[in-house]
Amino acid sequence: MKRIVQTLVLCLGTAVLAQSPSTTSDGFALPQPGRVFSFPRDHGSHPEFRTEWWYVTGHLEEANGERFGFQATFFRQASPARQSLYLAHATLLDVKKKTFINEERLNREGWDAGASTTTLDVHNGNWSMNLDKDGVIHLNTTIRSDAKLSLKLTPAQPLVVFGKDGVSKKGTSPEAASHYLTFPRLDCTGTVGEVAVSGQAWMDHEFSSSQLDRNQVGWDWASLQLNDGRCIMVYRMRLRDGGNDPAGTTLAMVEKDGSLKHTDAAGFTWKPGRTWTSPVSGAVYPIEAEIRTQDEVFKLAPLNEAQEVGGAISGLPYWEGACDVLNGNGKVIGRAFLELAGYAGDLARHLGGAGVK
Amino acid sequence: MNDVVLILRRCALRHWRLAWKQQLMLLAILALGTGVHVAMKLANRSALAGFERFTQTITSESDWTLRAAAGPLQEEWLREMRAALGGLPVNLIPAIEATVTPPALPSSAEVSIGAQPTWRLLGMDLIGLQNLRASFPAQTNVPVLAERSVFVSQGMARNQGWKEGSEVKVVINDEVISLKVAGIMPVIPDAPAPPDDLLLMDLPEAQRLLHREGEIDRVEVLSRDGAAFSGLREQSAILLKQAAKDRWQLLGHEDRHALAGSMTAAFRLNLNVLSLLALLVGGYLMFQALDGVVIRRREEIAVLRSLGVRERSIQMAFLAEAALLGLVAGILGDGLGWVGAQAAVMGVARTMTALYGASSATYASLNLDEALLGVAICIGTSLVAAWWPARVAAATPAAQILGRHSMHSVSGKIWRVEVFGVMACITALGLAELGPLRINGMRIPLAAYAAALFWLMGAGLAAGGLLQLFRAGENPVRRLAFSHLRQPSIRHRFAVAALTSAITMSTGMAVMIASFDNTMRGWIVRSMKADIYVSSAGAQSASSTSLISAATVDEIRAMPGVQEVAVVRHMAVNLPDGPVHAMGGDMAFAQRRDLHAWVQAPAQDWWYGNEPAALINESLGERLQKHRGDLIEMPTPAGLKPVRIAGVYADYGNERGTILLHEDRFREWFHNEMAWRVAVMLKPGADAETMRAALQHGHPGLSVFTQAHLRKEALRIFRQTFAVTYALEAVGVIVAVAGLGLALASLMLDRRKELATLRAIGFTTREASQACAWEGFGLAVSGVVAGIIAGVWLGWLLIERVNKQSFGWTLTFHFPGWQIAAMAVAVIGTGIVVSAFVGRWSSTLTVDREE
Repeated sequence: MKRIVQTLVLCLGTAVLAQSPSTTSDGFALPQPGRVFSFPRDHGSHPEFRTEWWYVTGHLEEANGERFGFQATFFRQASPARQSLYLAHATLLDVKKKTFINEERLNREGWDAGASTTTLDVHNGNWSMNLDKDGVIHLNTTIRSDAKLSLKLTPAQPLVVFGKDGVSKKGTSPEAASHYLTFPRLDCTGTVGEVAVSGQAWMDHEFSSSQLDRNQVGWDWASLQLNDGRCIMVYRMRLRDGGNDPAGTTLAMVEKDGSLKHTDAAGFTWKPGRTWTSPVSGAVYPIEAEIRTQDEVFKLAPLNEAQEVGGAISGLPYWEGACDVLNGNGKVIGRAFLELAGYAGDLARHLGGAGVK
Repeated sequence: MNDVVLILRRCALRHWRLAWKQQLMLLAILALGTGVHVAMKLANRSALAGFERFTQTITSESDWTLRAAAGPLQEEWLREMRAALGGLPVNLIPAIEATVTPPALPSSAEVSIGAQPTWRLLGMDLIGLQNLRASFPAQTNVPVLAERSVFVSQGMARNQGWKEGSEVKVVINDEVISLKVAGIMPVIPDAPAPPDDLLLMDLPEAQRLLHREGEIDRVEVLSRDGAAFSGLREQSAILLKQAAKDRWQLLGHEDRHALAGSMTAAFRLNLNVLSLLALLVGGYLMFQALDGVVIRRREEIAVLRSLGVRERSIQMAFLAEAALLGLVAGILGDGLGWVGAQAAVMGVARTMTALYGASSATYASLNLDEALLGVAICIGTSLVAAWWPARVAAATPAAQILGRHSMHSVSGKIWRVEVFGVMACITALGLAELGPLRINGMRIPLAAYAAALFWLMGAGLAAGGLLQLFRAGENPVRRLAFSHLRQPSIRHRFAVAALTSAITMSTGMAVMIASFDNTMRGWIVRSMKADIYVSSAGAQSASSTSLISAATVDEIRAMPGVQEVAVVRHMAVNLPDGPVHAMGGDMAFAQRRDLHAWVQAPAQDWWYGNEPAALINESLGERLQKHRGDLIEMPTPAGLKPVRIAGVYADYGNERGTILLHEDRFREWFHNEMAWRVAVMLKPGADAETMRAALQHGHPGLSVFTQAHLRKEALRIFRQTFAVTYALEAVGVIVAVAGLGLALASLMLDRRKELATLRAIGFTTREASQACAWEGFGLAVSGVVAGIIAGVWLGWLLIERVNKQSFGWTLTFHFPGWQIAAMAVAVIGTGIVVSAFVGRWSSTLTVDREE
């Protein structure tokens, strides 16, 4: 789902300006190269940008080894009048019981939703995520009255900034860019309901001001946490004709020491695998994928087929699922989250930005 | 048991076939009694339900409603509420509500209050509502939130001929605003349909249009327990109460129902009790009808007894017959009640709207419980009425009947009904001295109602004693007729009892209404002395929230011809035992114009004093049991303020109670610059009608009334309140007069042999008719005289006890002589005509006629 907003960035159109503008035509800020990030301020909200999200996925285990997958996402989307709407998602997968529950939230900025502009402190209804003075992130969500997650997230690897010179380019347009900050590995402790759990999570924080391109219909994205300490962020933007958009296709390898290496579309392949048809939306999702670089093969195997996130309010269902990562020999070498968006209708039309029909 | 079934089949049903007209009449009387009661019950319930439906249809019924103790809730408090709830998955739905009305068509004439429909404008966060997917209409996208856009119910769209995109003009406060229909609210399965008078708007837009940015009226609290959370409702209540700090109050659905119920309890109880009258009259008539049945079947009973049928079986058979009658009549009554309710609900709802606020009810449904209750009441009435005749039938020795071929109706010597009647009346006098029942701020004059019931029954039973006073003189026809009255049968007595009860009730109500009318007129003349009165055109009922802006008041003040303007401000506040009106007014103006009728007048220096003292109206004094000099803790946005009661004034404008403050104090405490009502005094020589027309032309969002028109309107609304009451009284009297005819027909059947003998010795049809008419005259006069006498006391009871205890209003007793006389003449005249017809019919009866 977070990539919906990325698409806003990626698909702004094809015009390439000679010089990077500092704002959009309606006055929102555009990512600028060389930006010096300051923390904790830049963990907070950036209302000068149109779109922003804080996005956490993770794998949890009980002491007895029972596994859970979870997602918590807080979106902010501003209108031209600078009024923000806050969309949020929370999901929980119980691997043993094969149950997947999720809830979608939408509130206008104000008493029931908002984000601080000085630090990470975002809330939507009774869901919240904030950073304490010790650098620990506290995440509290519920899924209706059926599940409750209270987690402490402690960075286990340093924050990385994706993209060149602090700007993550998403397309050919100079506006199709974002500031993309990620904690690729966070140690988690806390509770699911009353049960103590621990595990690892991934957190993205991204802000931009762009819109969808009419040629793009969706994207596939994945975050991989390998057992050897490396992490991978990879995505491909899908075009209306079925192909990938090279300008929107990237694989970023985060080494154990935090060093970062980007690979463009020519440097890897993404091969969709087995499909699953949602009984709710009817969408057909390729819930397995094989990502092949020059040296390695990573197969993403979902822990459960049904991991479609509703879209009850937004009308944009997508598949966001906990997976195991297997190597070419079929051995589990890590854990991942796979995101498949734009399989349940025309995403561009639903999101509807200027110039998008 | 077999005996009982056999008797029913061979005797009762055969008689039903043979005398089907009488049976039909009896069924109709009983059914009408039941029907009236059912109709009132349904209409009341339906009209009351209309109070609650506005938000339920959007949010389903919430766990709690948060309201400020005084004035609005502040939007900033919502953050504290959310923080107080911590991580609990509880939805908080803020809402703002206002009454709006379509603007009146351009016209030079003054309009009637309430002529325009009152609609509810409900502002809710249409974004946040998306989170209640289970109860809010599913939409694929966020709703269109264009400026001035509203969603309307299907019923409203149909009634008004609106569709998506239609332009809708409404009066909001004193402005005519143009809105656009953004969509039609769909009906959600298993949820109440949105009411036909609901306009739903996004909260910020509603706040903007109402000039109430940052304010909300209430917050609905919704939660649903699940696998990870249980007891959410209770937990959220504890947390929200802890965080309240006297700023908000928590109302559960029981409280909300109780609030709506208590606001209208007295009015609804009046109608319910009145509707029982028809049933009481029906019960009397049932008794006398079954008594006649016992007499006419005496020989059959004797034969059965001779054949060895046990007394118990005979008694059971009569009771079973009564129950069967009750069952059939009950079912018919349910049907009649449902039909009547559809007519009554409009009247009841209109009255409730005028008195207490908008009620959207237009349809009254009958559920199974109510239908069964209606049937049960009817069967119960029949069984109670049949018990004594059945006992008499079973206890009468067969030899006595067969031997003498006669069995007189049970006489007064055995029954002593008058004694029972007098005892009931004495009980009523005792009950009348008891105070009201007080439950959660609600005053129910239970003892007074019981007194009225005992008085009605007692007066009816005792009235039979009057029959023995009739003396005939020389006229043989009259002598014959009155001879029956001097030794009255039970049926005579009960025909009089029914008529007496109906006349007593009608007289009592007439006295009460006349006293009310008289007192009201005096009060209106005293309190409405300004030349012109101005309110928002949206103020179509007592609970209207539409106000007038300070700028508009200034414009009025600056008009040429205006000498003085007095502003009344208003805010609803909640005392611990219920809501009350807080008002601020120009006290110097009130004193100069002598606007108040005092129950306890304030000291002279109060008018200009600085002490935070206030006047209260009589209703509030009665409700709180407070008097001049006592202290009231008044809720204000800044917390509770102690207010000393400077004086108590008579006020027939509302029964919830009013605390009237100096204008400056009100503005200081409630930060409210909007005017609720504006009174305008004109300079000498200025023409009120010209000024009214000019003001109305310049401000189409205002309702402008001249003094004369407003006085007339106030009386019209007051009289409209009693429209349903008149209908119920009329039913009671009609049933009683019909019962009179039925009783006489039954008696004539008993006298077949006597009539045959009279014919044989030359008695003509005309004379038979006259004799019967005289007998009916005697019955009618007894019922009317006893009823009027008893009705005067009942009127006193209604004024001094029921009204005083329900509303706290002091009324001056007034006896509407001409009205009562006209009713007496009409009832006696009708009684004579009906009796004459029965007499004419009786002259055709043959001795061997079987029925």
